[in-house]
Amino acid sequence: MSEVSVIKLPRFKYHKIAALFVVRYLFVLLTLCLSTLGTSYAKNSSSFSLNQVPNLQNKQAITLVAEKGFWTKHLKAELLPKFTQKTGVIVNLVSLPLEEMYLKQTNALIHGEGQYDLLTMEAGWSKEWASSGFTLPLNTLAHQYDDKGEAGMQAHLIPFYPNLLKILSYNDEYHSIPYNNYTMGNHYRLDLFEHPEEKAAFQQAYGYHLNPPKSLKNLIDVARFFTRKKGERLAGKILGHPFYGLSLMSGNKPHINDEFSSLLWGLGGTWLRPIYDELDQIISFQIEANSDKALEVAHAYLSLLDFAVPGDNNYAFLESANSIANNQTAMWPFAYNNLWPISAQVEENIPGAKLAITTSPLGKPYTGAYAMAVAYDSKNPEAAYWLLKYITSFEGQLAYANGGGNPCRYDVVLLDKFASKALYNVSGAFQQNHLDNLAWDEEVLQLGHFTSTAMGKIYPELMRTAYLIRSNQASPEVALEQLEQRIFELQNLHGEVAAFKAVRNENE
Amino acid sequence: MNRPRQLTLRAKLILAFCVIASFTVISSFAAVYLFQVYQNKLVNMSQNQGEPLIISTDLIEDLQGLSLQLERIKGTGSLNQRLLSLEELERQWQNTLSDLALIQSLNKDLTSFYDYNPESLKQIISASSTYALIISELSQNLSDNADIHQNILRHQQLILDKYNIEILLIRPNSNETDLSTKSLKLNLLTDIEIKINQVSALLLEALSSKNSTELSLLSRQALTKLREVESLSKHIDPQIKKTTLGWINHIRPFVASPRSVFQKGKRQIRLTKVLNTHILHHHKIIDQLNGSTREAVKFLKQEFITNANNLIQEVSLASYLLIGLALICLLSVFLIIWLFVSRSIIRPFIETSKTMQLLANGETRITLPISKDREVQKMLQSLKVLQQYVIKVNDMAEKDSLTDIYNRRYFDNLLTDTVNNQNKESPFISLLMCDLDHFKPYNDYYGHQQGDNCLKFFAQILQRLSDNTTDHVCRYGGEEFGIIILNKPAHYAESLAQLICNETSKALIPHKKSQCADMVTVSIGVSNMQVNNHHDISQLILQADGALYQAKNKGRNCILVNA
Repeated sequence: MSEVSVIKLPRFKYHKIAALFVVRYLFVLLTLCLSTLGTSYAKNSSSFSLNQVPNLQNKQAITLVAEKGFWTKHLKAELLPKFTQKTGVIVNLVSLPLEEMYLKQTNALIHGEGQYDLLTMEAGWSKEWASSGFTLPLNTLAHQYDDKGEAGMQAHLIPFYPNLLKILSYNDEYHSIPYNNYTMGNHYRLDLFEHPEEKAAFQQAYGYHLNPPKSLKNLIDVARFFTRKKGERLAGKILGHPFYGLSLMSGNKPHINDEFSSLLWGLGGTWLRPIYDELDQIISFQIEANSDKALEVAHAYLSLLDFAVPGDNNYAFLESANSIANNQTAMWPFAYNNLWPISAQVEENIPGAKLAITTSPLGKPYTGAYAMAVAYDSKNPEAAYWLLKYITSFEGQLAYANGGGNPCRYDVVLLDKFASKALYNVSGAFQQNHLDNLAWDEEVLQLGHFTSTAMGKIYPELMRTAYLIRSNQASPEVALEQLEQRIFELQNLHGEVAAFKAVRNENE
Repeated sequence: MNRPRQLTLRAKLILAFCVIASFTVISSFAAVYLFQVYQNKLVNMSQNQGEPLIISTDLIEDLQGLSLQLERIKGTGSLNQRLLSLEELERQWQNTLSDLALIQSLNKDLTSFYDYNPESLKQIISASSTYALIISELSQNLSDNADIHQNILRHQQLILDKYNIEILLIRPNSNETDLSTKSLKLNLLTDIEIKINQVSALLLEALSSKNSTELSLLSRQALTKLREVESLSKHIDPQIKKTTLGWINHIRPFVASPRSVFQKGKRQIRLTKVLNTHILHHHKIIDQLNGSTREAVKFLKQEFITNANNLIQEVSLASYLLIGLALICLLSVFLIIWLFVSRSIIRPFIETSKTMQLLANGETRITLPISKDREVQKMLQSLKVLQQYVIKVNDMAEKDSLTDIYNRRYFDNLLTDTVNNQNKESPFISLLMCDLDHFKPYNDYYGHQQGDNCLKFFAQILQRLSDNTTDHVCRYGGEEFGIIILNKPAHYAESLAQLICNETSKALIPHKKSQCADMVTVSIGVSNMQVNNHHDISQLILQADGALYQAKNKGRNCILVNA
């Protein structure tokens, strides 16, 4: 907490500050405990290895769907051959771009032809597939195929971040295991933020210290401050190209919604909020998409666009990561941490550049993970189960991290080697990512985003709305009202529990 | 010091009229005002309690209607019936919303009874299109399920019939040599037949399942069985294989497809749950509104009764007030008329009129009324003048013009009136008849002028000596004078007669032609009588005359009393 912010706080809030310190203290304590646990678990991570896979009766080849990119290559090169060698089961890899993954896999599952045995999913789809019966509960599989039974799976899941498991769970059952953690963080240029000239200029212009932003106003101020024209000075040097305050994934892609959502959650809002009964069962959802907070976010986003790296309809995570790597922007406040290796290239590209990470502005970074699950129509669920367990094992996640991925197991994340300077360009975001995942924990259960089984249907609407607003095709008011109605329809028509629109006070 | 100016009679009349008119206007205004006050109170009661009460009662009925529509929507009626109920539900919610707004606008106190946000009701109404989609799909699914059920059974039967035929065909052809082959074939067919039955059974079970987890399990089992049928059918004869594959192709969409019985079943469960949650939400709001409205009705009734009672009391009080006011006005008007108009205006006129009547009758001994009104005063002044004229005329009629004493007319009238107006007790009258001795010679000697002077002088003596209150001195004729004395003892008349006689002599009026003295003398006859009638009067006069005659005969200058 900055000195300025403390000074500005009114007296009557001191008890809140004290409470905040207590919470923070407990949080650090918990982190240390988990770190210790993680380290000790890592040291004893021989609990599951490929050697423990039993001799499989069903040798029928299985098909794995994987996200296109380095991960596919890594699977093909490292993990899948080892699995085939051990089990004798051939694994066919179907590499799909994210845009196609949902539709293709869903269609295959609907027709039940056993096209895919091991599915890859974005967190938002997991509950929908599980509720449709498209994915098999892990405990059922473990009970059927694991020599340790359900305990084998339970032990396997211990090192995974609880927030991710909760996001992926359905009716208190796990159907999928996360492997690619895309929790967000603020990737920013430490060299610029700590440059004395810039700090002084910011202090003079805005009256407070230059720091990675924590509030909306702070974010807009910092973004405005670092936006410079070609020929202007930045950190004591004349710019040969325009420089921007931030990079936003503002293209017509799903990621624009993640930025909107992160800001909305940071303000305490949500698109839809689960309502629990006394047995902690969701009884309904309250749709809050057309709230004042959502409107504030929309207007703030439009303001931020003035200081963002220009982008076309396809401008998304890769473009944003490259923009920071290529010295176009001072920060990428809503960066997927699994893209840290690309962001960190700025240190190689620009002499003197130093990339750092902190939590996203407003402290509620978008979180989630890609996960894998065994399809209900798998022709060889046994092999699919063991492959899933292998890919998400310590060994699999370590290999994934070594390849530049962002693992979902803290026993991997907390390995000493990932804290070393040598691997900074690979794992520089791990620690912050770890803290943010822990910070989310049970809070994900308070967001419909992570608890609705209709999220697979709702998510595209969030993206559509965010882009409509961003591209000025609709005013925030109109777009959010439409979104509210759309979520209402989708949740009620496709969700498992009813949704109600939040009742706005007439006086508001 | 200026005295306040007296009001004129016209001003008084106008003032009286104004005062009476004011009372009338005040009374009327008071009545009208009270009428308006209670009319307003009635209107307020009607608006604040009556109307909301009626609307609330309607509202309760509407809420019951809403519950009924919800049950119909939830029920198993036809799609059209359910959609009509939904339409009706939407309409009734709109009515409810407007009724709620209306009753709260009519009576602000009712706001405290309602703890709802109108926005939530608007949202309920706006959700109708989504409900319609859910209901349509649920109804369609129900309808489809019946068809699917029939379809599965029919195709199950068809394929099983084919299998039975195939099995029957194999059995008769069985012989010892290919027994094991046939047996294998039969076993295979039986296995497939069992699995076909299992698939059909799983599908039929799924159609009636109400549990998503169970449906997932059934789905996996059905898919596995179907795959097993598909796998086993590879080893059977081409003809039955073709039939089996045909069945598989037909049944597969029911096992795994967007319209599989499992997906549809799950969707049915989800939609039913969602719809029920919404219906429950409606019921909660309805119950809440119902409770609130019943409380409001209770409050309105209580308030209505209290206000009605208060109003009745107030109206009753007002009636008394109005009656009191009317009485006060009447009394005031009466007092004004009596005190002001009657006493100050009419009464002086009446008195004046009476006075005038008396005057007209010749009565002059009257006291004129007193009035402060100028108009009346003027009239009274005129009346006074008139009275004086009457007195003068009377005097002229009753008095002797020479001697200024009563004349013979008065003498006669007095005696007649005395008899006529007598009370219980008959008056006692004394009559003195006086005659100047040898007056004709006097007149002849001294002349008529001196004779008249002598008569005047004698009359003055009579008036001076008599009591004005009881003695009436009259000139009876020529030199003869009569004095009527009322209700005095007889000796008074005799004394008076003697006194007159003496005083006349003492006057020493020379009379050279008198035969009885050198001066003027008088002879007096006196009579006294209790008079009862006119006859007595004549007797009285005759007696007095007789006494006078005797006095004359006795030598004159004397008195003689006729006892």
